[in-house]
Amino acid sequence: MIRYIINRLLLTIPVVIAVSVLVFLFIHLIPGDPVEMMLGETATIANVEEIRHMLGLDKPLGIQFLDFMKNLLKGDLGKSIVSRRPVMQIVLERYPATIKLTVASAIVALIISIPLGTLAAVKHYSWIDNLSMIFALLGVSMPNFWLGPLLIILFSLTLGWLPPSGYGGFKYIILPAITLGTAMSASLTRLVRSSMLEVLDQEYIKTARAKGLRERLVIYRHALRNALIPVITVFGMQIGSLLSGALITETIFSWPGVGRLFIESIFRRDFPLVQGCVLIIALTYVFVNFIVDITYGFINPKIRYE
Amino acid sequence: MALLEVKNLRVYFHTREGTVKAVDDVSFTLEKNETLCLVGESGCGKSVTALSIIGLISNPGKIESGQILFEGVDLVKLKKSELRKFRGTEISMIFQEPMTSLNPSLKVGFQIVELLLEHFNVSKTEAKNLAVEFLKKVKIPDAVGTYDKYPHQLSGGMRQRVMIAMALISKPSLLIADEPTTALDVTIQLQILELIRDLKNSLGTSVILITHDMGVVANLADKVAVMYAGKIVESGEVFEVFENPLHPYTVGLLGSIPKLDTPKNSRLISIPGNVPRLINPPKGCRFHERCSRKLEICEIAEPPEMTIGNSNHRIACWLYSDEFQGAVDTDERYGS
Ligand SMILES: Nc1ncnc2c1ncn2[C@@H]1O[C@H](COP(=O)(O)OP(=O)(O)O)[C@@H](O)[C@H]1O
Ligand SMILES: [Mg+2]
Repeated sequence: MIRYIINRLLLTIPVVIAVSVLVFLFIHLIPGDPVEMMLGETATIANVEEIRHMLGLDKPLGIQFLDFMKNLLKGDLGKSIVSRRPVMQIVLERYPATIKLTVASAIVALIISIPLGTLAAVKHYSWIDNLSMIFALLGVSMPNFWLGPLLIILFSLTLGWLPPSGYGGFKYIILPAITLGTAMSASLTRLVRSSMLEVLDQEYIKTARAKGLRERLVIYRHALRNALIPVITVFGMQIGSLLSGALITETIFSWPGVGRLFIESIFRRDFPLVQGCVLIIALTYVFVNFIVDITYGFINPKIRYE
Repeated sequence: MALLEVKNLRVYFHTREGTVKAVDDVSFTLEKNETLCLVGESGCGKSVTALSIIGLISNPGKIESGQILFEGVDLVKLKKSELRKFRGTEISMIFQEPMTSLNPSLKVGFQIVELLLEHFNVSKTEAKNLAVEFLKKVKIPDAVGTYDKYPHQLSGGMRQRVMIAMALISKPSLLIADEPTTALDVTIQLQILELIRDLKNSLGTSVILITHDMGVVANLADKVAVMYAGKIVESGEVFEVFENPLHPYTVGLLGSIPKLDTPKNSRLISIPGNVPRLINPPKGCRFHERCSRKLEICEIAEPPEMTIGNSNHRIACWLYSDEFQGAVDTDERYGS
């Protein structure tokens, strides 16, 4: 297992490097002169030169890259053009909010999809199975920018149960987490169901029943455990869609996370800050997938012992 | 009282294409300490018969009628929860595919232990000790080490030994083995069959062994029931049936006993044609399309069941209706 973990860890290194290179190139891939775009029509020549120098854009590309990587290793992503504060500092201030929202959404997704998908498979062709499939269809086809406002209208404006937006206690996270978690729970429900159906057909389930185990043990100990193996992989990949969904959801609910920061910085053309947001989201994604791989190894002994 | 009496069992699968009459009016008896071989080509309803006994027929299958008397209790009438208490304790089953019949994500030791913890009032340590003891009984070389292994770390033969240990650990009265060696190498096959026979003798378990191999029958069985297309066409003591096979299907199966040096995947059955689909089984005798001694009546009417003389040798075939006419209505003698 230790070897497996180290292996996975080593595999993330090239990914992290590639992500850094892409983030570095980002500013050079934008068509036109980034600095002029940042400053807009009101820019003076002096201004442009100052920013260009501040960003190091007046040096050769190779040197720029080395500087970028050197600073990155020190945790220095440059300064925001708008506020002149260090990018790293701003991003890290916003990071916990995004993590909270992502985790809450993932929890919403899991507590809906695992029981619902399992039940649908166990009661194949029943009304609950049909219901779960309708939910799955609706859930994946409802975009966040539509579901979010819908929830706000229903639960905040009409019923007055929950705050429409903002950041604070548990109450504030419910609506954004449901908005963000619904699409994921819909597709996971479908996956849990089909994976369960496949596992329930396996010989070892017959063996478990032939042993006279209670049906509950047959389902949870023997079937679900194996059915979750493919689900975990997809779950990891979908964390990516949660992180990107956070852009819209955080904006709708005025949630002060990296997603909203990202949108704000794009509108303000604060490119160092945009870089910082992209980098931290990409690294989070890489980290989550590393954790998912490890979990996968724990559940699936075939991997662990290779 | 017989250990197991199956009477007029009918098990149908209600599928979209139609009703599959997988088991259609099957009766047999198994005494204590006896080994009964259920033999026939694949698709004849052997597995469905076995699964009915252990109560594992599920949608779209249904036991339509009949009785399964286990020590006098009709299992067909039991509630699910009552039936569950028989499984793994009084009646155990092992399956054909050792590669897939153990859970890949649980240690094999635990898979044995959980059975004990489910049904008996034992501590975890007692259960573990018993499991290791049984892993030794099934001649697994490193029983203690194997206890902590996952199925994929064991060979097919070893896994089947684990299955046997699991099936016998509660000292059941009845072991059902559904083609337990079909998926294994020839040399391992013999070892596993010998193991089942030895443990059966030492534990006093009765065995229903399902096979399509008459060679296995000759080696292990006391009684044999030959199944064709959902019906038992001939049954009796092994020596009687082997010495005097009457049904053309039995004769065909006996002509196909493989030698040990037969290549593994060669076609063992020498009877031309295939088992018919059981949605619309042939009229009359279900075997008539493949029978070399077919009479006119075979296509029209189902053959009567007859008992040969004073023995347990029974047959359902028109060829013998004159010879054993008197026996047609002596059905009640069977099993007494
Ligand atoms: N779950 C099922 N659904 C539909 N038909 C089935 C099912 N299980 C078995 N059958 C049918 O029942 C018949 C007997 O099958 P089986 O008992 O498995 O044969 P055997 O064990 O003798 O090879 C076959 O025709 C098979 O197609
Ligand atoms: Mg079978």
